[in-house]
Amino acid sequence: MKRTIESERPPSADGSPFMQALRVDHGRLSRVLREIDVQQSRLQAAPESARPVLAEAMRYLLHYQHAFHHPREDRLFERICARAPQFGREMRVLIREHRGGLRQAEALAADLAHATAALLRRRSGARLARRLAEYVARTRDHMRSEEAVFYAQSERVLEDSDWAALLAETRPDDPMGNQALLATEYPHLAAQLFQPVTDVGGQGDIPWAGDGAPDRARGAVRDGVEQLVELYGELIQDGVDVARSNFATLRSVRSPWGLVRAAGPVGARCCRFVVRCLADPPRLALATVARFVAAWRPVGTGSGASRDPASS
Amino acid sequence: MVSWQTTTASLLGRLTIKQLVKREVSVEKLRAGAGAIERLFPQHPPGFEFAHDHPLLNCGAEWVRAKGGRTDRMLLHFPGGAYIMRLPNMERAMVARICRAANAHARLVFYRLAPEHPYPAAHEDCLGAYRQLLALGIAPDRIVLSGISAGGGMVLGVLMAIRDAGLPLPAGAIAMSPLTDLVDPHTETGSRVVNAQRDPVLSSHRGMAMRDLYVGGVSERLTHPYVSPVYGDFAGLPPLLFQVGSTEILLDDSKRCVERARAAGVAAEVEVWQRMPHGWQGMPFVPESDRAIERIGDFVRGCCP
Repeated sequence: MKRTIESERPPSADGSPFMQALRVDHGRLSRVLREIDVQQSRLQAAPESARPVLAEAMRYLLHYQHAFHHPREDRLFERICARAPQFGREMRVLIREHRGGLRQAEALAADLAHATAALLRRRSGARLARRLAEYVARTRDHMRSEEAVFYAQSERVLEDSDWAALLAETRPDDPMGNQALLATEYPHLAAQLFQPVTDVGGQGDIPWAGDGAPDRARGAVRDGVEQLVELYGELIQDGVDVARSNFATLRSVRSPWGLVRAAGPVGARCCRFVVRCLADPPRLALATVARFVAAWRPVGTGSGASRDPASS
Repeated sequence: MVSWQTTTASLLGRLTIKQLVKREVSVEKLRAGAGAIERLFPQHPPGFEFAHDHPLLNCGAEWVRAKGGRTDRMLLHFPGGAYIMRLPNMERAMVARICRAANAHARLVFYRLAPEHPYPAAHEDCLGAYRQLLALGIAPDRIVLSGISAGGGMVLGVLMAIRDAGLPLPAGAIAMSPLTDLVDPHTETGSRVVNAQRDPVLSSHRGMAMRDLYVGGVSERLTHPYVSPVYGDFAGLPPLLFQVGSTEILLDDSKRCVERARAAGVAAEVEVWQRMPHGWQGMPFVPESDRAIERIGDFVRGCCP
């Protein structure tokens, strides 16, 4: 059965404020999902800072999105179903997803409320982070389904009387639409939402930021390996260039005397390349070992420990 | 933690792309290198239609639409490639993924390239593409600009030009690892120096030569806000999202723009991604790419509800 009914009649203007309100809710929900996505990736490594933000984010979702936004959508879907029964199955799926999302959010909020920093540093922290990531992914998928199919259809299907009934419902203030209210009710979440810089992927990546010697040593080795790979990349390219140059030189040889004359530049290029291959990698390896050893020295006692690797 | 796919891609980038960018090779060789990378990507990602109706006057452009998708959000995307080359298949695939995440259609603008067409050719093409969207009746508050690398810098330059021309501004803009400063200040603490070794893809060895190609050898143009938007006035611009890798030499290009934009009262934010290589958003085989694209989708939904 063809699902689209776009050509049946023009969109009803009466539905615009109601639909716009739902879309704005989705926009704000997306911003909160982005924050949950960042904080869940920090949960195990930095539970002290991530947990309060996540707890407030889940509280916001339960108190506004699940409590008001989804029920409004449910009422919209029911009216669409009544007018266009061919959408019945999809509508029921979406309503079921609302209920499932609510249960998931309640469970996550409860687990975050009871979790301690010590607990979150263990495997249970990783499991909770995974569940939060799944919740974010499902909510995004759900929003896409709603927007792509039902938001697009509702204004064409519903009558003015439907919109009048839907618009008659009272709509509570969304804290996300009021910065002062958000900062009062959800201070940790608000502080994160308005940060200019967000480190994504754990604790950021500031070399030597960790206080521990193992962190610094790991950083030194990682930088050394990267530089070694880059050096080998250069050597491979140089090797190709040397081979090309030598091939071109030898191809231009027209006589035995020409071959003797070509042997000079060909040999010199080969020698320079071989010397570089033999000297550069060990030199870099030694430098890496030196940095690794320096990294194990306590911060402040030596010149190497607190230094940026790139500057050396 | 960085995924093994990203680690592998970074190592391969160091062995190949970075070497190509570092060496004294011609624009033709750089374009040939880009063509080799292109083979990794399908010409047309499945599930999307690519149409060529309403062509632009001076350059190529494509409409990217999800098959059967109904939405009025429009992404106007400018590709990267240091203004001298491009990877159309990679751009198509990435834009299609953003469209899916944001529930949007897109207009992909293949602006004219330097050195054959130096500044302001590319800038005019991109501004023309925006004017065309308005002329086609697309509401500016349903349009979001996006760009990667040089295209990210183009996004900011075009935004400033839109504002200066008195046109209605779009709902928001996304700059992925943008090149926003062509003057290239090599300060000791700047990311172009600090990250010179750590960047797995880009090198500033040939920076000035490549920039000269874009401005046609006219060095006075380098500080023009439409060329180096970091020196421009950000006042009045719509919400901006920057994504950049922590080890990129272009890290400061994003951070400085966000500082200036926020000082001018613009809702700007930068996501600094741990050890991500330049242009990771366009690599569908790394998990962090999907995550970045999903976050872009969230941003689009937020500024264009």
